[in-house]
Amino acid sequence: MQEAIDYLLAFGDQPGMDNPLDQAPATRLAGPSPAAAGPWGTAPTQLPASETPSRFYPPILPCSVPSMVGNNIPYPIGSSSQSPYGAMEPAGIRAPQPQLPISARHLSALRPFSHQYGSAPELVTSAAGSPLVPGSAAGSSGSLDLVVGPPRTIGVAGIVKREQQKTAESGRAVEQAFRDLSALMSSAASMVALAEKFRGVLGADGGPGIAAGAAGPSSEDPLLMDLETQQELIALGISSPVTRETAGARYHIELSRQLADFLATPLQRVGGLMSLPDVYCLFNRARGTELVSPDDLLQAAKLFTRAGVQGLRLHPLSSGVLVIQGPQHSEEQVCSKIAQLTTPPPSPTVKASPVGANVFDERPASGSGHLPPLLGPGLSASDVALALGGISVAIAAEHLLMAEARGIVCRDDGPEGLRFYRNFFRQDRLGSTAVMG
Amino acid sequence: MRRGPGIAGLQHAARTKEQFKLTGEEVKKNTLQAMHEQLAAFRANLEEFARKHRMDIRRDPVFRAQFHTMCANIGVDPLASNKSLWASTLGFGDYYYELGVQVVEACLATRAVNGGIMDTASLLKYVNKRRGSLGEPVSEDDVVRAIRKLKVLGGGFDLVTIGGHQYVRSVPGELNLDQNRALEVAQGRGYTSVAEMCTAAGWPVSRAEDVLQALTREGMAWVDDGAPDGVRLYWFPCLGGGLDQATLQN
Repeated sequence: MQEAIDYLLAFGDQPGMDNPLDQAPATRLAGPSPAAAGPWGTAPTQLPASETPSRFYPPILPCSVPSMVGNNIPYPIGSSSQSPYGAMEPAGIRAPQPQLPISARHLSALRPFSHQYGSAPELVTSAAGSPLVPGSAAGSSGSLDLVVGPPRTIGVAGIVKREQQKTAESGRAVEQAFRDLSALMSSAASMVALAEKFRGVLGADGGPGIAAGAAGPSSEDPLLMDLETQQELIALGISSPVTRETAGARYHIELSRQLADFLATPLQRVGGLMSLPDVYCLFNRARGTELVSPDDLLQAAKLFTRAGVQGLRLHPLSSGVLVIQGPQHSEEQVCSKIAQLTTPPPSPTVKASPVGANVFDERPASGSGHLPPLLGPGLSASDVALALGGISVAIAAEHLLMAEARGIVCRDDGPEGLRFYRNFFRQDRLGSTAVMG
Repeated sequence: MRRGPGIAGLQHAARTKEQFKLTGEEVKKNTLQAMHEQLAAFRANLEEFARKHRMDIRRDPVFRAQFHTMCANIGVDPLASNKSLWASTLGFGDYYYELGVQVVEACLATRAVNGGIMDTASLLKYVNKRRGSLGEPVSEDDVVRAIRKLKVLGGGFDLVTIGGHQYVRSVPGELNLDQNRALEVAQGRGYTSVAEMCTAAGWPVSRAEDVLQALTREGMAWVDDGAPDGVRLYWFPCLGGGLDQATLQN
């Protein structure tokens, strides 16, 4: 009896007490829970905390609202995280419930509603006891409601319902999004079909019209409209190589001028040759926002001459890498540098064998009249990359291949990688007989 | 049309041709007009769509993937340019280009270890780590699209499939069939040996040796002479697994 009285004192003036079987919006607990956080462990009017769960633990009671049973949703934020008892089973307290309805109604009639906000701490703490037993009467969990909410959806069932509503809404939103997407796509598809047909027609007409020199507004019109249509098609993103290259949109020309300005310094740093992925990264990093797409970059690079940019050129290397070549880059310079790197140091003695020198050094001098010249150091791509001032290894490898094509170096393809030595076949005038002998 | 005889016939023929041409022009103009109108309507449609679903596209990778598939189906490339209708209204161009930059950087950073071929899962992890908690985590589909866009730059960026897994290649130069087969065999444990290659692929010893040495030269395979039975093992960090983790943590 005493606990019943305590209970009533605690929760009597809360809304929803009249109808304990209603579902309580336990999310309203979020409001007062920060306030309830502190005094939770110290509820004077409430039974000692540790006892509460065990006491109110008969799992199922006949009066329990069906939706509350088997609820696995963790209790709302404030309560569960700050509950000293850890996670609570939802099918908790039911015991005092049957006693509540009648007297609670009386009490709620008596107590003013204004007790709601800023209730005495005891009320709050004792009310805080209720989330510990989330399955309790709807009224009790509604007791933490310091915010007026719909009296229908309170308690754990309220959470469940809310979650369901949320998922249903998001599901509806997603459905709606997909419906919109399909509608958009179908209109885009019809656009594309029309554009394709039109482009085919225009292309066929514009060509012979111009070729035949049939002057007159009628043959020029298709071209003009063609350009404008092409611009629009580009704006739409319809991929067609003809469209983009011939149109030469203003955007791309502007971009190529910007690119040229930007690349002046980095090209200086790396000696005049930079691969396109590197340019892409540098340019986009420098821009920060309003990035350029790879296609845009490629188009801009192709339009250097048309944009009036001096000195920069897009150049495909033999291995397929695209590079931007600046005026600082000259193949002769690179070759001379590589030749310099591969020359042996000027010490002809057998004893002091330089690094990388090969077996030629070790032949006894007595055998033949003269010592063959030293081979000199062998270069790998990374050595060249370092020596040429920190360019990328891929570019350095390209330089070596280019030097080899010019006959300055020859390659040594072994199990430990590809190395390049000076072209001793040519320099030492080794004929086929000398090599054999 | 019936060609009449004589000059009258010629004039008649010329006139009919003229008329046909005029009608043709008329039709063309009308079609062009129709297309412009349709384009305007589509633009309005797109803006409406963007207004409603811009956030969805940014947040939900599944929706994004769906969007891209549908675009591909009808032959439109929304990522082609940052100035295109799509990018300006839906605003995800920057996202993919930034991702592209990060992919390039990731590949460059790990090239010394894996020789230019990187497992997509490791790449994804690396990129997510780089991005930190900036935004939503990147999905594999996004990375794949970003790489497809990078292919245009011609630096060798491409997706290769070896033994059912996808890898990102960042160096020029294809893997020939033999090398592909070797990587497939090594996928099981991350390493292989000449003997294993011979038994698994049924090759003579010289061929297996050639392939493994070629892979070592390229930088994709690492030689391990410290195995307990003295057999030379070839490890492949590019195949992902524990080897890449160690380097990523450094």
